[in-house]
Amino acid sequence: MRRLPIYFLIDISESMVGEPIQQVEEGLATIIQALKTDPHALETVYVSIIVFAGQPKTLVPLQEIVSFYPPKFPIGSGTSLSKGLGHLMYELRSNIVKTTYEVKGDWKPIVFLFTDGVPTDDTQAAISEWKNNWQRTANLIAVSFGNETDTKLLGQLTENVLHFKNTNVQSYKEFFKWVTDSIKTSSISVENNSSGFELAKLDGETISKIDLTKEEPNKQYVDDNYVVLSGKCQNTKRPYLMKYRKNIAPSIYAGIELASKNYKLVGAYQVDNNYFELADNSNFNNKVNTEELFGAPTCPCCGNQIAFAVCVCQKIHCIGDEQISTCPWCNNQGSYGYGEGGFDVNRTQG
Amino acid sequence: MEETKRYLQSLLFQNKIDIPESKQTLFEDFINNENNITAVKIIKEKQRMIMQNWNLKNRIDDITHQSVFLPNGTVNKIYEAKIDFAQLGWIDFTSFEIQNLEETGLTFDHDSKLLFGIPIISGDLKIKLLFKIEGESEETPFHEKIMTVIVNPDPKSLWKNIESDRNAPFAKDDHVAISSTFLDKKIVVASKRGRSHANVGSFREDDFAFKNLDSNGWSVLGVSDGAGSAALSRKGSKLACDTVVDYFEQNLDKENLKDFDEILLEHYKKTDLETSKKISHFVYNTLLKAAHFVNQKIEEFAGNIDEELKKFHATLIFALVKKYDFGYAILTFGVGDCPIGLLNKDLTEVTLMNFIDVGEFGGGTRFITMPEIFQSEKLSSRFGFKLVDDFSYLMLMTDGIYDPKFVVEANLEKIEKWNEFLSDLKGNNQDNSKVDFDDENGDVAAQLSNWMDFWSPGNHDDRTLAIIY
Repeated sequence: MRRLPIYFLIDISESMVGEPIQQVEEGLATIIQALKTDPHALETVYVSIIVFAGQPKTLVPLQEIVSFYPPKFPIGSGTSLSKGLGHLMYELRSNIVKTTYEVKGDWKPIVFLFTDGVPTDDTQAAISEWKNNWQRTANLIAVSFGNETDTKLLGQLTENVLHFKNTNVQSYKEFFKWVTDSIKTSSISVENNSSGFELAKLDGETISKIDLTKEEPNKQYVDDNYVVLSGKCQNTKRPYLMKYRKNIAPSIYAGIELASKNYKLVGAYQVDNNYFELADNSNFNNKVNTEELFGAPTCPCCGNQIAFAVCVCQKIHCIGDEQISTCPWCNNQGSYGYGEGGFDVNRTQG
Repeated sequence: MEETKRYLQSLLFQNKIDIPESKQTLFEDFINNENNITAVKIIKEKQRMIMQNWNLKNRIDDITHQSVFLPNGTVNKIYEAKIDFAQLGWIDFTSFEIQNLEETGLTFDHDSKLLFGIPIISGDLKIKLLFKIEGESEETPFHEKIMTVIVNPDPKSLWKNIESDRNAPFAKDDHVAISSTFLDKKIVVASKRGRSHANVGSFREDDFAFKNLDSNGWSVLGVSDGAGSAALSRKGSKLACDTVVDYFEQNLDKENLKDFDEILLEHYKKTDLETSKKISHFVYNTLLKAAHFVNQKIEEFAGNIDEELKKFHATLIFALVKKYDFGYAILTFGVGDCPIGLLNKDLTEVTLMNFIDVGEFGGGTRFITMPEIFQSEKLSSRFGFKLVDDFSYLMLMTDGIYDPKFVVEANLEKIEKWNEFLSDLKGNNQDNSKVDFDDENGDVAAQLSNWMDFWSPGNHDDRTLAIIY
């Protein structure tokens, strides 16, 4: 029997925290469920899930969909697309079976790359390797979540760069249905066709193809579309993330019209210790001023009123109404007052 | 006493109150005050209780969110999974039970913690675990945890069998089975629409044709597999087979048949380089013309109805066979991934008569409709010739048979695989489906057609098998 290998390469950087990652998690489970209703797919599709933040990880090794169990997605710091791609190529090299005289080969593998941001590392080497060794051997579909992805860069990987917008629950559902349909059509056509990969019809509303000739390349190593701050709960010692989305507000300063940038709170989310495993270890010191941040969450781990207390060690933790707080990062003890005006805090790479 | 002192000291300190030397005696009295001692005791107790409650709540929350992996099951297949409490760290459970198993076909054994049975419904079964942990009072209600058991549908139940549209252009039968004579031997052929086509009501794309050309003593058999991605390949494969038969019927007499008969006799008496060369030339020239003619005819047909040639993509294998006093001459040509196997009389040897076109990944085959095959350096390897005293079986098949039964190319050269295949045909299979190759058997076509319904996961292509025996 020939396998049709489907790889999902998924960005799990901090900016995906909250609804997006939850939707991806549920979405993938839905894809598998839907594929199981298609007898073709049920008998031929093999699935693997690779995630990447600062580090890549194989979350689900290539396996037939009858044994697939939906995984819990971790969140990590950074968006190292090059490490993600590198890991994908490693997995492809180790798993994809080519037809030989004595071995039954796979159908041409399909890769779905989901990302919502800008890579935080240099991707050129990985992209060249992809172009040279894999572009013709695998069908890659890059899907940009939201408006902030570096689509020019994705365009170097594949002609199929798609934009997924209107991120509400319904559109996520439609999007994953589209992915399912694409897999279903291709599990039929690849069987009989050498190049054979067909994307399901795009509706243009939820998902649309990006004109790659239009946008300018974007070079930066912090994903500026979100500010994500990482904290630790004083009570449970667990990590959490606070996510703020960029908002450009018109403002008038000294009679001159300016657009000022600020970040609005999206929410605070508990993450597990995988967060540290998947984080980029390189020395990273990027600040954001609290004056740019609107809104302060409560602690998502223990419900403490203030999730945004900064210790002398510069790290963030939560505080309640206790008199003396202990920083869960450095164990320093002290009491807190409210800061006047803005101050700089460390942000993550996003 | 010491405890009360420490507590009050730190309380005052937190409120930024220092006790100077001069107030030490006052403070001593303060901490010895019964009311204060009791108050501190109560505070401490309450704190302990709060901490305990928090730990319990936290533990319950952890258990509720803990991911528990239970292996997937399949409808109608025995399921068994142990829920390993120790490994999950559930050593602090004081009591538990499992609910929501009604109508799933599964049962849970409380002592062995085994979940087992034969699932009767597919989907993500949400199983409820009710539990209490150490430190909770008897009256505390059970906590709930939902665990998922994924039950896969039985793949066989998902396939549909939708008839193809009889009114569509180039409609053809979903199943054909026929038996007849071939030279002095018998032939049986069955061609069957694959599950992938039946599931969506599309056509069988395989085809075949054969004929005994009485005027010159040759018989010809062609088998073709239409490309799934080509919209009109059902017609392409039919054209390919019919055309090759027509071609030989019309043109074979014009070739130097007499000369060839003589060369063969010469070759039979004494095989040398000279005769081999002459035979090669004849085979090459005669068969190439036929193959080329097929290519041209399909192109012409497509042009006439203003359709693209690639819509007719189809593979083609054919064999041209003649019986001489000294044996059978078998000439073959093949483009695509359909094998021609020749089994000797005592089933100790198989000759694979053609080269199989397979791509690096699945589906990378070649078609008779591709003009470039005639320019390729591989062209000469597409022809086959064999002169044998006799043979037991000559088989032509499409990949719908070859894929599930031989799996890989290498197996086509192994006589033991062909013997397994024969034994399978003769009834050694799950369904006890049997083809009786006795000369007198009038049911052989129906039997082959029936045998061809074998179930093979992942293999749902059209199936065509032609056997000369």
